[in-house]
Amino acid sequence: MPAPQISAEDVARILPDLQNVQFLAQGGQKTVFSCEIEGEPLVIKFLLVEESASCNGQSATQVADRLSEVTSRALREINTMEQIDIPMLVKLGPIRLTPIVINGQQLIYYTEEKINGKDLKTLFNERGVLTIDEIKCLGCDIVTAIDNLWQIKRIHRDIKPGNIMLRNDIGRFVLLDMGMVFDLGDISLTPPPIIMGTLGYHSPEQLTYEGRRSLGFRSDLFSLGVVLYESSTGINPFTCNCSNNEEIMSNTQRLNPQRPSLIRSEIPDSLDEIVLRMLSKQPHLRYNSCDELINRLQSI
Amino acid sequence: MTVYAQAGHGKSDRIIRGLTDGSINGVIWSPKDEFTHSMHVDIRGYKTRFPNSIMLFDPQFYSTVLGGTKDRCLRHYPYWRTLTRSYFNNSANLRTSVQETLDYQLTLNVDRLLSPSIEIDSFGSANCNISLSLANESIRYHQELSSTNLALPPLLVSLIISEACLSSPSNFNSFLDDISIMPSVGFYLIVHRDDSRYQARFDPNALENLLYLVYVLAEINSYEVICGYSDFVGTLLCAVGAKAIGTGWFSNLRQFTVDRFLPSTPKRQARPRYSSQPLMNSLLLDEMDTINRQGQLQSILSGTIYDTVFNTVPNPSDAPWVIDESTLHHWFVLQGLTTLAPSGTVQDNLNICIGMISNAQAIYNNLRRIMSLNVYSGDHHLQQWETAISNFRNRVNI
Repeated sequence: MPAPQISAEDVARILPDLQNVQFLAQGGQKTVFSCEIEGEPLVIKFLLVEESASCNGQSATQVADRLSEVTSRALREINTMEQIDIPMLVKLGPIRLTPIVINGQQLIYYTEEKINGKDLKTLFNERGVLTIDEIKCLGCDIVTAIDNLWQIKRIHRDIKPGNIMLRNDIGRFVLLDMGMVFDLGDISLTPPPIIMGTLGYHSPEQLTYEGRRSLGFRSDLFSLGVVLYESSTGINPFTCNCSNNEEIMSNTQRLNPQRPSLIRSEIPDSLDEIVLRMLSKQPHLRYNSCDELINRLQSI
Repeated sequence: MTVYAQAGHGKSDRIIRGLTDGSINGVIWSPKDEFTHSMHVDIRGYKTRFPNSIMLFDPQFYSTVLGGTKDRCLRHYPYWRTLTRSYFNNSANLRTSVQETLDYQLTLNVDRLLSPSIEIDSFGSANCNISLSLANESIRYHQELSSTNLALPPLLVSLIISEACLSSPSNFNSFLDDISIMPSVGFYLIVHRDDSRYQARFDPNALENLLYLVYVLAEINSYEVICGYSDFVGTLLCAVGAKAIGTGWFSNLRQFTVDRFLPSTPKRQARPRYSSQPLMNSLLLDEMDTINRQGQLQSILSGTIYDTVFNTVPNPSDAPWVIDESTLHHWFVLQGLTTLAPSGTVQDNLNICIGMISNAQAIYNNLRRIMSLNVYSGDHHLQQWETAISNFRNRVNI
């Protein structure tokens, strides 16, 4: 399902309670705007649940399944945000999941807190790498987010620089976009051949059918390990020098990255060891406790 | 390092002597060999007399599904009855077994509770799933108990794994993924050996996987791992992170086979053996006579206080090498072998093990010039251990 085709003007017109509506981004299945409600800065996200053009070539059953998946996934995203209230995870805004029709498209929308800051992807583009203290803080904050998700038996599945922001106000990192969250206590919303997540940040087990059936929080620790590696060296160990997707997936499953300190000499041995352990191919060789990992990160 | 007496039939006073002289640090009790009343009295008595010792009770639940067992005292324990595998298809039955087994241990003065378990014949099999279900239910019940009992002993998840399963372990990684996330303080591991004859030999593939299992649980995931029925090979298990090993006085208490629980015909009494720390193996006293005649006895002696009996006789086989002294000596030998580099890394510990294996091989080479040894006294185990260590090191890159 594509992202909805709507403008800031459309949103301001249909939802007059919103102020300062501005286009932010369009990607995946969402079109996102910044706005304010009674002076509170928020983002508002729109998802398409029905558009005849997107259904070409699909049977009625396929279309129905797809619509149900979009709504279910949005509900799961909202439910996840409702259950966790920590600064390391983005919070739900005052508008919960609501249906609407704009320009003939049947949509759903909801609001989230607006993070005042930059995402890691932007920071990497600007600065290349993070300082050691920033890497420690990034690790501790996102592991805390992963731990809180796991306490309600959820796995993020799409931890990557674009989904992590550094808050300007308190200097802490926050994990965004629960749209791909996997709920161990619920039915799978993803048909077997589809691999959720982002190439180069998948865990090895996300890339196999057997592995996807038994994902745990250690899968998210692997993805965070890739982000920490990139924060340390400026390089994604699995995508660099790759010419195609198959090569990236093969690297994820087989390539043992070199120590980050060989690329950036100021990286301490203790950080080398933490990152490489997070990037172990087998989940049982990674950390089995988020608390232990946070202690290790804090002791760098 | 730590050696626990793997208790069995006919304990005499060797446990008291072992705890007194420090050759053992605890006891793994066997309900098959002890009536319920004396089990209570013994554990309470030992714990009072040796408050720093560790008392564990192996419920031997795995024997419930063996069929036609030589259960001896087991039938008097409230959690034990003959069962079939289908009994565990019902989750209520599974829950009952767990509760009865842990509740019984709460009546004893033990330091850890051991979960009930059945033998894993292959990873991913029905038996394996039952074993994991018993473990998970034990963890759940233990957590439930801990909310009202602040003095509740920590839980060790019991795993009994066949040697054949470790030799060609399909689904091993998935099994490790499952158990390495269990919220218990640790694991009590038993390997069911293929060959019931007492020996230091160990299939290199099975041993490599056993080393990996212990390493993943103890070193990587910080669990307390206690390896029951381990003997000389326990040296390697301690090197990769095991906290303690269990070993007993008879050969069937030094390595685990189900023969111990099955009816058997009377056997000839085993010929006395001497545990040699330098050889990391045991020898027949007759073999020691030959070595002594060639003037090489000192090279194989372990240096324990019990060695002095050999100074007073012309031939080692003339010495009063009775089972009690032989057992205490054996425990001292294992204490010596498993006491590796203090606070050493796994890498350091394995280097020490390789050094000990090389030393043993050199002594065996000298012995080979003067005699031929019984197949169970020979050096075949050393090559197997070396291969297993080498493959393990390559696997974990240390």
